[in-house]
Amino acid sequence: MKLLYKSQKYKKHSLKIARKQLKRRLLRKKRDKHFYRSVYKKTSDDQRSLRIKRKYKQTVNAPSNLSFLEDPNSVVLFLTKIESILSNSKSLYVEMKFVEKIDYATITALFAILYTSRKKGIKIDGSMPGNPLARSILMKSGFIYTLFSDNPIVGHKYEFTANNQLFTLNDRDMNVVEEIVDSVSTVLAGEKCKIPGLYTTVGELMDNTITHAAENENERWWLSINCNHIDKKVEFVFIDYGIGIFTSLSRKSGKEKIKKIFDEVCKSFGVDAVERHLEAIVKRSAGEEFNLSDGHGEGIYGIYNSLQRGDLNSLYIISNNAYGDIANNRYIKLKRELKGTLYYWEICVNNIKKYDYINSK
Amino acid sequence: MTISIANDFSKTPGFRYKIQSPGISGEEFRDNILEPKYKVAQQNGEVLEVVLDGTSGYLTSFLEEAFGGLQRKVYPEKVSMIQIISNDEKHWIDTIMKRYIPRAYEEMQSKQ
Repeated sequence: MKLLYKSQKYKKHSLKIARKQLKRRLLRKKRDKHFYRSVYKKTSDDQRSLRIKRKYKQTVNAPSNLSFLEDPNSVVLFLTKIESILSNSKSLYVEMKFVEKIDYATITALFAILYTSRKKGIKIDGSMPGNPLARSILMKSGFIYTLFSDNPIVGHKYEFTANNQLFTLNDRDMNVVEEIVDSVSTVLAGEKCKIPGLYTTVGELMDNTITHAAENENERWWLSINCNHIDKKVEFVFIDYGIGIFTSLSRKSGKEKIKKIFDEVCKSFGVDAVERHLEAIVKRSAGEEFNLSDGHGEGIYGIYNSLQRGDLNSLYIISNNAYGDIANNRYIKLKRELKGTLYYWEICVNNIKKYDYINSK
Repeated sequence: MTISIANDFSKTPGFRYKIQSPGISGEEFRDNILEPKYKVAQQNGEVLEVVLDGTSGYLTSFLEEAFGGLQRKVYPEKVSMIQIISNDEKHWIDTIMKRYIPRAYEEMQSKQ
């Protein structure tokens, strides 16, 4: 054995390894020195965040305005970055320190992506918004607790908090629709009853997702319901990460009537004017030809009619790269495409008071 | 003659086709209840009343498959002697009588 250790060949090999190890140690020391200098004057919260963030290979910085309804471009870009990282990486850190504004549409959209990824074993962590109001909204939503809880979502319903519920399924189920109506009617009318427009809206969106959104198997939809017992108002966010309305329409067979009509819409407004396409689909405003006599494609128009009748408020639709603030008649083309469709609407007590059968309760 | 969807069929009407919501679809309502009763009412010269009240609500696809589908089935005859009663959500009356049924008739005509 002594002969082996004394041999030139061994000594040369050993020296080479020692040099490599020294190089690595010095490099690590340099990185640590740089890191600790950077955290030295930070608050303890920041120091903790930085230490955690260091463990994650990929970081995504959230924009300051994380309101999907006010600034859809920034939020879609943010979600797209997250999705692209999660498809290639095993870990992700979401930096939300600089978020000033956030809404339930973003919280639901973010939860849907992150929960699915976490279930696949991808490591996810992040920081809380520095802004107290944004932080409070995020904490009250129960999103953080649920995302990192050891109790997974079982079945189709999860109660984030007493005021926030999440329903999710990859199928159609009228029992779930009824459960949603019962839950909301208890908030708005004090007991279980019919809520005009709600059964129709939720059922249509569920049907649209299962029928049109999926590329292969049934697509999963997510519906979050945020109840405000004081204002007697309920916010709904329905989202699926399918192919989106316009991709779905463009892929339909040429024999289908709705495809022919969609092609006509594209011709009259231009192929790129997706915001005009969305308006035409919502309002059926592309002329008489748009009134499909085979009765298909009534879903979104039906929801629009519910808005017109005053059965619901504040309807927003975001799909592919079209954004529609339907109540305010504002349609814009987004810079980035949302792969999927998001609907947001509200129902408050005033929406249902006009119905005699509710007033009598 | 009267049909009450809530009492005679389901309080939670489903989707369009049987395969989508077995037991509560528009297709089954039409085939098992609406069409047979419509034919009987016609033979007796009666108006068939269909009451929509009492359910949790309706999907457009359910109603279109039921009433538009009825028109498509009885074509070339025009669906008549049918009255929709909907006190909870009155808008369904016009939607069915002025859109679904006439449009289904036009669709069948255009196929001729």
